[in-house]
Amino acid sequence: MSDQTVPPTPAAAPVATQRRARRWSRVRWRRMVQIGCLPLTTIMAAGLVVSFSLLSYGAPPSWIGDPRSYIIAGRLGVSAAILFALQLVYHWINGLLAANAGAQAARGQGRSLRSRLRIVRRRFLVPVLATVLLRLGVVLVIVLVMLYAYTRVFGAPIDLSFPDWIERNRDEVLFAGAMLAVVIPYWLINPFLRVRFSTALGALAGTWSPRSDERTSLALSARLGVGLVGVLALLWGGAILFLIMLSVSNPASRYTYSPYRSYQPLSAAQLSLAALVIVAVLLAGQVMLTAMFTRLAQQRLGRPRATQRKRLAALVESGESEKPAVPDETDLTA
Amino acid sequence: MAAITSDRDSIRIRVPHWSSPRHPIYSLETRRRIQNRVIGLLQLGCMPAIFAATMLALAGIVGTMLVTQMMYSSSWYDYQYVIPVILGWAAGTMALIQLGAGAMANILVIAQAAPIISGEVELQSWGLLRTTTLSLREIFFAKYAAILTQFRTPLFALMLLRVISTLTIILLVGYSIIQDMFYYQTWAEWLRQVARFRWLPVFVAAVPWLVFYAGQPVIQLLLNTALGMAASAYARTRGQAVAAGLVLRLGVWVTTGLLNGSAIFVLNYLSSQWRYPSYVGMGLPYLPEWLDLWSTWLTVAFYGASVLAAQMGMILVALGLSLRRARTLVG
Repeated sequence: MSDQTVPPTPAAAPVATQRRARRWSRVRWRRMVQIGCLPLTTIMAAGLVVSFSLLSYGAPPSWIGDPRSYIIAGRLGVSAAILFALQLVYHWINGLLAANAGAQAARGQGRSLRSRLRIVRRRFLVPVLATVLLRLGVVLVIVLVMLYAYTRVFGAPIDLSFPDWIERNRDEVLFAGAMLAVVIPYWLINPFLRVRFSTALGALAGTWSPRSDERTSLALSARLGVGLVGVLALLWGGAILFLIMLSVSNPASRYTYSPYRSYQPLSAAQLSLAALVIVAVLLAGQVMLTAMFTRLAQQRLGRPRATQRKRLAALVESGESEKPAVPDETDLTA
Repeated sequence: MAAITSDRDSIRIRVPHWSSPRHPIYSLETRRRIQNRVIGLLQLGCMPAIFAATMLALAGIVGTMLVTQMMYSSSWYDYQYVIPVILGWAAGTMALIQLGAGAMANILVIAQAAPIISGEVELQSWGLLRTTTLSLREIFFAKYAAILTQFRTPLFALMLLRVISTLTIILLVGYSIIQDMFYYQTWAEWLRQVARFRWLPVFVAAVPWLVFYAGQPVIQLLLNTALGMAASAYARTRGQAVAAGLVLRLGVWVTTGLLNGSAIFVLNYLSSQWRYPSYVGMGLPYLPEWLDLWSTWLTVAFYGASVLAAQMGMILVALGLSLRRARTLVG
């Protein structure tokens, strides 16, 4: 028999080596995402915008009277839609991943939770910046629309076929523009706030289970549940508000059948004010709830778990000795 | 029955002994990790999947409808029509999600419950279990309770979806009432309608159906677990038990569907004979309005209560048969 050297199998490798290899792989993966996220996002967004614009609005049909307006308006619309959809996807996925990361950080006895969450948030900086970049792209498209429609910077103003009420109520549109100037900064910083909120929410949800896979499930459920609450607030809130308005006055009794004298229960100024109030409430909620969830998660981690308490109570009742407590995992690099 | 002290000492919840964490079988079964990784992932992913599907569907409906309406509406007057449409779409979509998620949860429950006794028999540990001081009833119901406990998270998600869809339907009804009653009747006419109590039989019929609708996730969980345990008690191996459980569930589903269809047809036929005797050639006068109203809605209420009772009965029968079979098992 020849004395052949058997190569070490992965199963035979020491556990510490395996763990180190896994960790290296994870770190390398994270670095790749950090390095490639912004360039990839830019290339992907630009590629999608250019290809869809050229495919959809390459040449105007023969029945179009103003081909320049048609092409520019169409391409701007497609660009805005693509960038809006992309940022929405990024925003959503960032929230879910941040919630999961927050849940995985909810370990130990809560003393190091804030440091752990800070590290998690730092790891999400690049994807969040990518989202902000896409949102800036949307804002840029809106600015271009305004420049094309209302100024002569790029030649003669184009006809964007805005709805009639925008053309009719220029003053109110200007007021709405001022409101947008307040809302857009909030929209741009919202990805940062969302990651903060999601990590805190995930951490709180993660305190309900000691198992990693269950923590992921709980964190995702919590994050998606909050999203569902938001959609339901919009749906039910709007429906109830409108139901009350319709109960108070029947719009049919005031309807004139003329589009130029239509019944509007709220003016643009009132609507803008309402939007500002909603933004203020959202901002305050995101900031305050983040702090509250982090504190609650810390408190929950600091207390022995309910199941442990029950088990201990059962042991004490049955007269057996108390088992040693679960050691605190305070090593942040683990 | 044992008194379990909850986290707050002031609250005491009395639960059966076999469903308390101190019971060895219950404790073992609830702590046991799911052997099949796919089933485990599906079980853990059930709640996020339900929430994600509902949220995305509702956001899509609200966004699409509002944007479309804003593009094509000329005044606020048009919004009174779009909101009921949005609510209707939302309720319909949630019903579909409930159907899909409910079917998936049913399969998971059976896959989890079916091996619980047959696995013991196959591994020849059932006999050992029977030699302990625990009674058969305790062993059986501790296992039953453990499966129910493992599915509390998907159950919570399904219940939440029911509540959300119910509230959406109530809002939709609110819109139809406002359009049909407030705008086309005066206050005096509307109050007269209320004072005549014509709404009472409808309300009486709505109660059992509301209980039926809201309680379905719980009842289905209890029923599927019972069916899974029945299959488990009658099969000799885990594979046989899972297959038998799924076939049994499908059989019950088809049978109840046929029975319900037949019952609705017969009731509809009898009701038309009773309500419109002149029309069917019996030569009798029509019923008074109040009798017509009450008889129709009481039939609807009775039918709802009967279906609910039949589901409860099926659970008890399946559990009784399983327990009876488990007594004779050797393994």
